[in-house]
Amino acid sequence: MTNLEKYNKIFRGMFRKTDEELPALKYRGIALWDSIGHMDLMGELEETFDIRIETQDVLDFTSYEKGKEVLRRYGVEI
Amino acid sequence: MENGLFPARIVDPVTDSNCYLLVREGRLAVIDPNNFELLEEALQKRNMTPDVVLLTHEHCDHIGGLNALRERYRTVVIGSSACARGMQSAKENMSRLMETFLYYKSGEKTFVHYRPFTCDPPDLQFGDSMAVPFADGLLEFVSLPGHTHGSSVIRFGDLLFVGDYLLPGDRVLTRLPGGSEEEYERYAKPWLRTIPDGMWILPGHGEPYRMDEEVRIRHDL
Repeated sequence: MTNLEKYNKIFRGMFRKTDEELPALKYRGIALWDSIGHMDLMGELEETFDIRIETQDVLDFTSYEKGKEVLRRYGVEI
Repeated sequence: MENGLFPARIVDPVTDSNCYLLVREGRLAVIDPNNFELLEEALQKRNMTPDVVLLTHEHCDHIGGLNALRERYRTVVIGSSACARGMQSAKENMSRLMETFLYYKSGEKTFVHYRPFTCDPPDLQFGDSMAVPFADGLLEFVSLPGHTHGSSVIRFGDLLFVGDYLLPGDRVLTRLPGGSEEEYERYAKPWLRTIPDGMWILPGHGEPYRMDEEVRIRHDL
């Protein structure tokens, strides 16, 4: 499975969206992606990509697209 | 119970969590050691050492002072086996993302440094339930997964330590690490429904209160 497939799988599972809907997803843009959903998301990403996301980056992770940039800082190319 | 026998409450200023000191016949039980410095101050003031430490669940705001407490005192820690698993993981005990949680909880205004940590498992563990003699009574533990896998309530006479269930003004959170709405509905809720009127509820956050019909309605029990 590619990194993009893993990334999308996490978003689909957590926020119950299709691949086509993912690019538009933003933090607090849907009910499930609230602060608690965000922490859950960070936990899943850390586990999947075996990284530790710093708090500043957790806060910087404001959308599906922005998240790709954040993960790149940890050597994860999406 | 509204006298010197009522448990003292220590509130952690960072997380607002409660730690309780239950004193009976010269013996002391610490419930949820949240903040070692404040706890140590309370113990020294009473000139007491903890005989037992009881855990309602594995989240970091309820075990934040446990490691230091164990280093300072020889005591017996009691918690469920599921709690034991959770407290050994910085993800499951929530300390890994606590900085973020506190930031959001403050309305994205205050940033507090919070160091991730893990704890060794309890010395004495239980599965579904357990009873342990304590002073003139019995400590009764009941495992109630829902808020976390390792959540339990602890009963001593007409006192019920409920951890993060039945919080005043707040519905139970089942979306934090280890939480499960399904487990809450299946295991925790039916048990919480059986709490009789008048029982003292000692929550993990907020002030203690007595159980009544209004509480049942508020928590949809």
